[in-house]
Parts: sequence; structure tokens; C-alpha cells
Amino acid sequence: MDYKERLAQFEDILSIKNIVTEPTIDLYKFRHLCFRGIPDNPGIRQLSWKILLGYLPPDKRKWQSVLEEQRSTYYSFVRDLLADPSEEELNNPNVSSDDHPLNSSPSSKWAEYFADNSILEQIDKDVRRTLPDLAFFQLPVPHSPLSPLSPKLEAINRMNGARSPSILETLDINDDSTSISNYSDSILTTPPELDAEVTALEAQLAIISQPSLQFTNGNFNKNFSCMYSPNPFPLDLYNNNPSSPPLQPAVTPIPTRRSIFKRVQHLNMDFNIRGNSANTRPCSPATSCKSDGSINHDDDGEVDLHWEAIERILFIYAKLNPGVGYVQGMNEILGPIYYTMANDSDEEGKAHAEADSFFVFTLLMSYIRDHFVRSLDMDEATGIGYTMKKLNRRLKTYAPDLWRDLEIKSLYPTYYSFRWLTVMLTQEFALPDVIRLWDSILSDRDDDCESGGFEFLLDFCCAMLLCVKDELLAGSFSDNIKLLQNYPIQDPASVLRKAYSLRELRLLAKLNDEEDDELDENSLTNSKGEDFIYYSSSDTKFYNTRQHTNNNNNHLLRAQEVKVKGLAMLRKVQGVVSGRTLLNNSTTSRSSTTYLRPNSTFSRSNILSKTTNNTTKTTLNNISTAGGNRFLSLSTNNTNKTNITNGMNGFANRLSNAWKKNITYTT
Amino acid sequence: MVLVLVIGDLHVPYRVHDLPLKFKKLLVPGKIQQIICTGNVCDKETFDYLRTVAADVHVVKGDYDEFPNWPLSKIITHGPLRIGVLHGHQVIPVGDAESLSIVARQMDVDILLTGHTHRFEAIEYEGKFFVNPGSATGAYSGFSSEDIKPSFVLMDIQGVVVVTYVYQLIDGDVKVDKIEYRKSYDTNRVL
Repeated sequence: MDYKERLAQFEDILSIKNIVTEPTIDLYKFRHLCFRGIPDNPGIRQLSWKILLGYLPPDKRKWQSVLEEQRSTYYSFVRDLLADPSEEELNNPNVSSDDHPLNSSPSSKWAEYFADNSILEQIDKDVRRTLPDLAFFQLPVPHSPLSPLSPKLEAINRMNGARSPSILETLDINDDSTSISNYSDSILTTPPELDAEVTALEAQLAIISQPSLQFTNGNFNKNFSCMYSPNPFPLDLYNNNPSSPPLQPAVTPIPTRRSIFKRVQHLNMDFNIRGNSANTRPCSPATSCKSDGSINHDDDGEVDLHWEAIERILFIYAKLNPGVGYVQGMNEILGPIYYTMANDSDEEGKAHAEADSFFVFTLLMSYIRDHFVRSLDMDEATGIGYTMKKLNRRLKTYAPDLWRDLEIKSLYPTYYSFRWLTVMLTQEFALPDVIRLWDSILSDRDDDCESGGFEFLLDFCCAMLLCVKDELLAGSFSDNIKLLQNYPIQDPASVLRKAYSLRELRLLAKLNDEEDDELDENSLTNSKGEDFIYYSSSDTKFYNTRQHTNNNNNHLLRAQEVKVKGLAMLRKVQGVVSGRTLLNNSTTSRSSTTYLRPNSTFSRSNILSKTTNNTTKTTLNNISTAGGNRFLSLSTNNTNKTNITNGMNGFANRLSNAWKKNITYTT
Repeated sequence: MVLVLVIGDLHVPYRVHDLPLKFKKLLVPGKIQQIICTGNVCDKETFDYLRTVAADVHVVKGDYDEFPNWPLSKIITHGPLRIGVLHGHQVIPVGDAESLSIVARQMDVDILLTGHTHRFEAIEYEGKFFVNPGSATGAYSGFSSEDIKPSFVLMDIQGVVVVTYVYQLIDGDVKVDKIEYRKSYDTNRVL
């Protein structure tokens, strides 16, 4: 499928124009489509990730309501969770409480406050250093009238306190988002006496622009001016009925949004990162203090920087999930998510990037949360230890020689794959590549697996190892460690290709009712020719599956349902591997090679290498005999292919045989 | 939201050997950002202990202090608030509100922290706030014949509002009280 086709398919699936005819997205098909990469066209990736992770339901009709609901939930979190206990006391002077700042009892708000502070400090340190190479995170969040996290324009003006040419001149009609940040930065203010005029002007603008409002990307500054209009006009995003209810119930800024930054200001006093922080500005009574003495939030007009938004998200997540809290690494995972959401072309999406990122992040974390819980590190069935073991087993399946070599060197997966797996490769490749990889990783999520595993992630890690296999085999322990911790291949394209082929093999194995990753006690402990034992211990499984296959109905059903899925993949594998098309039952000799390396244990090669020219005969043998001869290689010539393709050939042939078995049943 | 501990008149080791245990349990490091000591700490070790509770310690010289190079009075600014500190043995009559207000006007401060009487007081007088944290150890004082209750003060400063928490050790238990002070801007004031 070429690029244009895929793009067309994406747009077709994601567009809301056909909401009546095709309201529901076929998730399976969509995932399959995303797996090959999501086009970079504006707006597509953001929607796709939201759908892939389950934030947006497959039913398009529900999108609007879901988004509204979730976003308002997030804003209520910001309002509630970020509040200071001291401010609360001031705001409720009549409520007498026994709470005091030195209270150490766990029910005390102050005690909670100080406990949160320690989390906050940790988050702050990490977040400032997130993706330091990219300027994006140090830039201010563009002002938007839709988001309650955006300061009102008047407040920005008050902050910056300088004169402007004219409001009308700066409201450039044809501009894009960058102008708006210029707008807020560029010393724009109205002296108090002109305020009334300004609002009148803008109200007029609002009235003018309102009837003709059709939402397109370039016109969001009209929304801008409409902020001051008396009625919040219905933001009509979808070109439909103008009577749709207003999207935002209230666009009043949330006063506590910046409170967490004040809390950790002391950490960075030396650097004075935010130049106009409240403490350093001398407050003259006229501007900062009202006559009734109410607390003025000096930084009402201060715009957030992107990394500050990330800090807020992480803090709220940590407060809402005390079981996991905040662990270093979560900021790396949130980075690409937030980056994608904040660069949405859709105005609404961009305004609510923070809220959407929060939920997308939460959903993603619900799958990989176990990796961050320290107590599960040693657990057999969950946690990062389990995932690393799984990776190791997979490596063993795909490349036992490499696996054995690493075992001999005592190069356990903990040393290299920990970082790969916990932060999902964000530290290994550049951000654009990471985003592309995540398209594939997020779409291949195994719903059946209890740990919600990202199977493709493991495949990709195996591929990473296999791509530098030669260097690994040649080097010593320390060389290998150095190599794996600074992965040399910066362009993931070649690794991605390998990962695709590995995945297809794995899926075919799965079709064949064979689970490669199961923890096999025997295989891990038996020292005598492990591979052999591994296979033979899978005999029991084979017996089971044979019984299974005797139950034709089940097998039929399964074959039916996976036929669609598997056929295309199988074809491709065959094509890749042998250059010939599948499903010609005239199985002439294929130029497949032995599964094993030439210098494997001699017993192995003796027993298993058979040279047959007619592979059908062998396949029949396979079907009929119940022994663990599944891995009899169907080899003829030893070509000069690399060992992994040997393995793939063997797999492919074996599986194609099994596949044919399926086919014969169904015909 | 700055938490400032106001403490004074400890007289360690001459009159009392140590702070009450319950106070020590309350004063954990990490919660308090600043300490202002009204004087008569009397000891290097006690001063070091104060420094472990918070990094920023301001102290003024009391009449029994051993450090000669501490200032007699200090002014600390928190945003719009000016806080003045002195020990109070300079002011006669001791603890008199009017005399203290003379000092406050001289120093041009909104909040004046003094000690020396070993009695807790928090008075708002003529728009200014006068706080006396009392003696944190309950040390003997020549001025009052009744028993001295150990006490100290924690101020939560937010802009122009100060919420004062008073911790007193009464009958072996810590009791906490809350007082609020808001700086007012007099229209007649010349700024």
C-alpha cells in the first residue's frame, strides 16, 4: 500500500464527515493500519494515538462528549489538587480547624502538603531536564481562549506593562499560532482608562466575526477576540448546526495552576529561570495589592512553559496514583505524548493538549505501570523483571546462539534492556524516530496478556540486539555493555524492518497454537543442550495441541478467524524469505537452510538435519508424527544467508506447513 | 507561602538545659523556610540546632547572648511586608505597647518581633502587628512572677496576609492557636 493510499485510508477512518454512515471505527483494522506508521499530516497522529490507547472510543459520535467530560475532569483536578492549605485557610476563615503547619498526623492537610512537596521536587528536577535538546519544552504554551489554563489577556497585559501600538494592528487576521505567543510576549497593554474602550472594540469584533464563524485552522484568533464577548459563542468545530452547545462551560482561568511552581521556586533560586518571578519584582502597592487586602495572584498573567505543563501533569498523576507515585522515567514517557498533543493542528486539540496528554498518559501508564513499581521488580509474573525475562526468552527463540553467547558473558537483560523497556525507547533514538516507533508499538498491544504487554516493543528490542549481533558476538562483556547502552544505529529503519519480520514469525507461531514466551522451567534449568530440551519439553504442549486439533470445530473456528489475519502476513513472510509465492501446494525444494548454526552441538545436527528434496513429505510426517520433530529442518543447501534468515526460513517453512494443515482442514 | 518560625529566649544552657521534647518533635527540618530568633539563644550548640531546622536563620543579639557580632536589630522583607526584630531589652518599659510602637515607627516596619518578657503576645496596635513569641524553653524571667509557659510562633506569610500559629506547651500538651493579620493600606499614609 503506498503512502497516498494509506493517507487516504487514515483520513477516511478519522474523519467525522461520515459519522452517519460509519460511526464506529474498526479497531482491529485501524491498529493494523497504524502499525505501519501514521502519516505526519496535521491532526492525524493525535487522533490516532488517542484512539489507539482508548481515550477516544471507537464510536465517533461519542467523541465530543467524551472529550468534554474528560477535559473538565482534568481541570477540576487542577483546581482541587493544586491548592495550598494556607490559601484554603485564608479563604475559609470561619471554618475552624485544628490543622497547623507543623502537624505531622497523616490526616492533616499540611502534612500532605509537605509530603507532596518532596514528590514535587523530584518531578521538578526531572522535568526541567526533559529532552533538553529540543527548544519546544522551554517555549511558552500558546495562549488560547479555550483553555482555563491560559491566562486572560488582560492579566498578561498587566504583567508585561508596556505600551502597544494598537490592538487592531496586532490582531493579524491571517496569522498562525506563533503570532499569538508574540502577541502575549510583545509588551501589549492597555492603560486602565483604555480598558473599557478595548473591551468595547473587541466586543464589536466579536459581533462581526460571530455569524461568519466557520472553524478553520487559520481563524482561531477570531475565537480570541470572542473571549470578551458577552455570551460564549458556540464554537462550531464541525461545520454543523450552529445551535450546538458551547464547548466550554467556563473559560475562567484556574487560579491555582501555578501554585506548584511557587512551591519549588526555592530549588532554582540561583538560576532565576523565570525572570519575572513574584519574589523578585518589587511590589508597589498600587498594582499588586488591592485595597481590600485580598491575595493577588501575581502570576495570573504569567504564561506557562511547556515543561511546566508537564510538571503539572506528572504531579497530578502522582497525587492520583499514590501506589505508583512518581518514578524517574515517567517524564520521558510523557514527553513524546505531550509533544504530539501540543503540536496538534486542531485549535481545540492544541488548547487542551495538557488535559488530553494527561489522560493518554494515564492510559498508557495503566499498561506499563508495573514496570515502575519497585516492589514488583523481583516478581515472577509482573513487573519489569518479568518483562525482561520475556525479552530474554524471545531472544532465545529467535537467536539462540546470540542468547547463549550473552548468557556465557553474564550479560543479563537488566544491563541493557531496562532503559529500553521502561521508557519505551525514548532515550535511544531521537524524538521524531521515537514518535514513529511508538506508532507501531502502541498499535500492537496485546489485549489478552495480563500485563497489557506491548509485544512489538519486545520484538523491536530483539531486533535491536540482532542488528548488532556480529559486534556483540565479537566483543567482550564491557564492549557489549558499552555498545548496548549507546546504541549505535541511530536510524531505526533497518531495525524496524527486522522487527516486522520477527513479529510476523511470532504471530505465525501463535497461530499455530504455540507460545514461545511461556516460562518453561525445564528449559531454563537444564544444562544439557538447552535448546533441545526446550523443544522436547514443548512436546507436552504439542500433545495438547494435537488433541486440540482433533477437535476440529475449535480448530476450524480458529483457523477461520485467523485466516484473514494471517494470510496476508504469511504471504509476506514467504515472499521475504524465499522470494516465491505461497500456497502453491507443489512444494518443490526451497532453498531453505538448516535452522541451526553449523557449529551447534553435534547431536543436534545429527538428529535434526535431514536433507529432503520434497518438503511435502516432511510436512506429512510432521502432521502424522506426534513427536517433537516440528523443528526438523527442511533443508537442502546451505546458502550464505545469515543465521537469522536461516532461523526465519526454518520458522517460515514449518509454519507454512502448519498453515497448510489448517487449510486442508478448512477445505 | 513562606513559613517563618519566630522563637527566642531559650537561655540554654544557663537557665534551662534544653527545649521541651514535644517542641523538638514538632520542629522537623524541611517544613520551615526561615527562622527569626529574637535573641538570648545563649549557646553555640543551640544556635547550630536552630540552623538544622531551617537554613535561613536571622538572629539578633539579646542581653545574655555569647555572640558579640550579632546585630541588635534587623529588618526582613517578605514581599510587601517589612518585619522588624529586636530583643526588647532596649525598650523601657519592658513590653509596653506604646514604646514598642515608637520603635516600630522608627524602624518603619509593619510587624515587630520582640522578646525579653518570656510571655507570648500578639497585638495589633495602630495598624501594626506586634508579636512576642515568649520563651521556647519556659526559662525563668525576672519580670513575671507566674509560671512561664514555653511557646513559639510560626508565621505563614502570603503576600500581605500573615497567619500566625502559636504553639504553647500547657500542662504537658501542645496547644495551637491561630491569629490572622492583614496589612492595611491607609489612604492617609504617605508612601
